[in-house]
Amino acid sequence: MLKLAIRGVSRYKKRTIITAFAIAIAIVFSIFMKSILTGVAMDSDKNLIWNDTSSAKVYAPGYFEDRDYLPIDKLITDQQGIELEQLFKDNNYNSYTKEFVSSCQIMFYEDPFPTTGSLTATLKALDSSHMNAYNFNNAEIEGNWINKDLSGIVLGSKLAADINAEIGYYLTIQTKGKGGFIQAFDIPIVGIITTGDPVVDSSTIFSNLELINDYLELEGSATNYSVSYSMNISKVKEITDKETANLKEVVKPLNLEAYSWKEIAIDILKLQASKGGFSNIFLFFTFFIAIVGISNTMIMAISERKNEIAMLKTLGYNNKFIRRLFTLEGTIIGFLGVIVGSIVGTLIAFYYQKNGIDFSALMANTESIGYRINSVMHAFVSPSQIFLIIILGIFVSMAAAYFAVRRTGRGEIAEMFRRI
Amino acid sequence: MSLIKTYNLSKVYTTQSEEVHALIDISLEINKGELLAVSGPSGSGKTTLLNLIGLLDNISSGDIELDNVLYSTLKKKDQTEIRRNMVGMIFQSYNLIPVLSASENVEMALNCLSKEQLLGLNINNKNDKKERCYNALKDVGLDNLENRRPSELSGGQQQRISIARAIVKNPKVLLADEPTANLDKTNSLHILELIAKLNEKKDLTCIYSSHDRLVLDHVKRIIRLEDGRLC
Repeated sequence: MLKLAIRGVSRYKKRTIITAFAIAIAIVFSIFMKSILTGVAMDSDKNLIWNDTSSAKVYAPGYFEDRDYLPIDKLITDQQGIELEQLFKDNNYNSYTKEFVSSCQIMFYEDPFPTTGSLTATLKALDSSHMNAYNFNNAEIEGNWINKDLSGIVLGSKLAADINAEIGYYLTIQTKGKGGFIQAFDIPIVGIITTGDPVVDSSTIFSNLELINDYLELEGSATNYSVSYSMNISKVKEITDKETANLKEVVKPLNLEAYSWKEIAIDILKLQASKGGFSNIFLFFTFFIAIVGISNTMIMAISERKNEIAMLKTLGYNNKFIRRLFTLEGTIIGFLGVIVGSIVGTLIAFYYQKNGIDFSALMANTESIGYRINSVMHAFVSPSQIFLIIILGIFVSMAAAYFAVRRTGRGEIAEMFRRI
Repeated sequence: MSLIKTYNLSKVYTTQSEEVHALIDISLEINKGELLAVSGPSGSGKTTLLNLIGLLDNISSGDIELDNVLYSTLKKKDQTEIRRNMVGMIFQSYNLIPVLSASENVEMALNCLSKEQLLGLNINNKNDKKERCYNALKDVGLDNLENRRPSELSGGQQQRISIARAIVKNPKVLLADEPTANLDKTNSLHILELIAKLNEKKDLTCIYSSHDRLVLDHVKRIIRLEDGRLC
């Protein structure tokens, strides 16, 4: 049957090639889009965890609910911090960072800045002695990065570019200290950091906690502790739920609350999930093309080969054989398209995994695309996803062919001969 | 000894506007090993009679008995079995599969047989099958063209392949629907002589449907039809 089906497919070479080509193109787009969106989601999660949320955060009660407003009235006290750090050590949470995060107004003045102005940013002060909850190793840093002797601020690169800031320039920062008093201080820019996370790069000012503690009279208190389970993103994703449940229990005696990065960034993740669903539209179109192409090809083949079908029945072949034969032919066409498309799609995805796609021109006028990535998108070639697309493509081709031929062979043989 | 009997056989085609009585009350007997022709003008019911005997069409009323099997007792599956084992058919337009070679076309008649049916033909393996196809092609004088595709053969050669395909499974009856209609006189004669030889050599019952004088001259009995009735 296979030999007959292969010969049948090769009979109408142009039609076979056109149908297989259409399926191949659709598969290429599917694999490309799936790889790009997977890569982007992975990069986004990596940026989020490495630069912003870490694996989890520990807050004072009530902070989590108000976290979008960066409250400073729900702090972890110095004493709680000391006890918490002891609990971390006792429970082998060795990667943690004490931090103070608040909303601030930065003001800049003409000379040395080109213009005078102000804008809102996020001040993030990290304990320089214990910063291993984050991974800034891949970040590009111009000037200095946070250390115990740092007496200035490090600006996100996009923020620096927006106000034309350079290292050595002074900014006036106005924010609230512990208890709610308003504090303003002039501070030099000592570094500029590019993390790859657009939110961090465009709106964050880093400093060390020791310095900010003095400016804002924090008395050793912090808005939160960030905790890292691992710097391997896949591993973090795998153990987040279990580790966070454990962490919640660990911090409970201090009347503190722990939340995983998934809970903290739930809105971002929801947005990503909805965008990820976009790739399924491509899959849907792929299968739609496969269904239409193969159904049409098989309907034409059946119509043109009525005498052959009638002759096969005359020889004693049953309808089941005839339907299987034509289904096999459709499956072969689909298989050809899927295999060619998968190879080409995978090669293209590999290319963009290595080189990425620079969409900075597209991003020039866009604040955010929902993902926490910079202007270069990297694909991620997932063998399991490609395998799934191949299997689905072949299955859909087979189903489409079967659907088209399901009534083939019905009726009297003489009638089939008469209609030729 | 009769191989085929028809009992008050009738066939009515229903079109949108009318009923066409293609065969009316046909009762006849055909003996094993007979070489005969069903003759008559166009539309007289010749092809319809062959189609009914070959189970290519359903009977409106009456019945047919082939080798003691009454068609009215057969289910669809059994009808397929009869076509597979007992009936060989050749047509005016050959109906060969264009993408298969001569021997592969012949082999198609064997590929649908069950293991038991193949054993009944002394076919135990692939080589036996190939050899049987080769012998069938040899019987029709085409053993040297077994690898040619139909498009590379003349009309007469194609018809001979279709005969080889019909006889390779050793059928009880060979039904030939106007087999010479597309052939010139020389090729027609070759085909008729070939079938006559098979009839004699294998004691194969052969039934032509034709109004060709040449065909009628090569048979021992003629059944005449006119307007669907025996005359």
